[in-house]
Amino acid sequence: MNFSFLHKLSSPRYFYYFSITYNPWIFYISLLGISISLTWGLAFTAPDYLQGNSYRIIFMHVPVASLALSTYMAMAIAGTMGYIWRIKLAFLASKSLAIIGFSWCTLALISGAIWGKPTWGTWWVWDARLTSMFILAFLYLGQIILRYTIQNTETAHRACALLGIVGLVNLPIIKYSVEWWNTLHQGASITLTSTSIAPEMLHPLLCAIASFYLITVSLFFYYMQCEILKTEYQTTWAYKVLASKNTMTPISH
Amino acid sequence: MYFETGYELLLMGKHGIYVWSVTLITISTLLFHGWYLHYMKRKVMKKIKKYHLNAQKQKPIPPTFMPASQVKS
Repeated sequence: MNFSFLHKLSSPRYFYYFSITYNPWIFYISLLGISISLTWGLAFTAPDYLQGNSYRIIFMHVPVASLALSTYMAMAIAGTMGYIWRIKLAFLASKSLAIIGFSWCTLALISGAIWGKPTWGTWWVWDARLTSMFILAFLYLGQIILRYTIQNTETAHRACALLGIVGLVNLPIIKYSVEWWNTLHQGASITLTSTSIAPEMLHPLLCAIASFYLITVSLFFYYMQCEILKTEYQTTWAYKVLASKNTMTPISH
Repeated sequence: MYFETGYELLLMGKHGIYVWSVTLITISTLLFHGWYLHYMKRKVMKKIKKYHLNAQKQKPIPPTFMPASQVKS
């Protein structure tokens, strides 16, 4: 199998043109998926036997909570790749994923709190799952703040990569917190082999999860485009991107 | 549709406020990303434009020195 396209993708210019070619498709498909799954879940499925209509928050809470963990994993892997192999694009990927991941993590905490009020009777409890997710949000925030406070870009990238690797410890804690400790948050409803969700509720949920993953990929590509242009602004090809957008005078140097 | 009227869909029993607020926050988050990306792209485009227009203004001169009278027009 030929993997040469992977090597090409580590070139900022190639990655930029690759992303602007395929990303609009990913973006519009994901938007369509989100619209369909949310309409399906919010208006067309029956209420839960125990929670009533409040369970419909699941169609947003579960995808974003799952993405908060997956994005952190991807961010830490990208940071590690950058740290070991000094790939500039890997650091930019890590930076882009930190912003996206932080927004998903915050959204998971807020939607969880709003779901908690009608089901548990409280907005917040310091149980293992909620606390570990709260820590994850701070790990993301740490990544963002570190990048803005350290002036030297290379040092900032390396520091963030280290923080990302250290923070990986938190992921299995979040995943197994509901098994290791007695928590108010319920256990996993979907595993690799089984599920405790009725098919009519599971299908829109799976559709929502897939769509949110897709829009994360799309957002990642858009953030990467900005980050690449930010670092490559002195190059001729970056100016060509600008010239092609604004039909400016062609470059002469 | 599960609900018979739009009003029922809006109310969702007594849980509409929770469900719709989460929906609104989720959509707002996606819109925020859209706005922030647009803002960032505009900023970076300005940076590129500034740098390259300045670069175009800078003209290199040949490393030769002689009186103007000796220079053939």
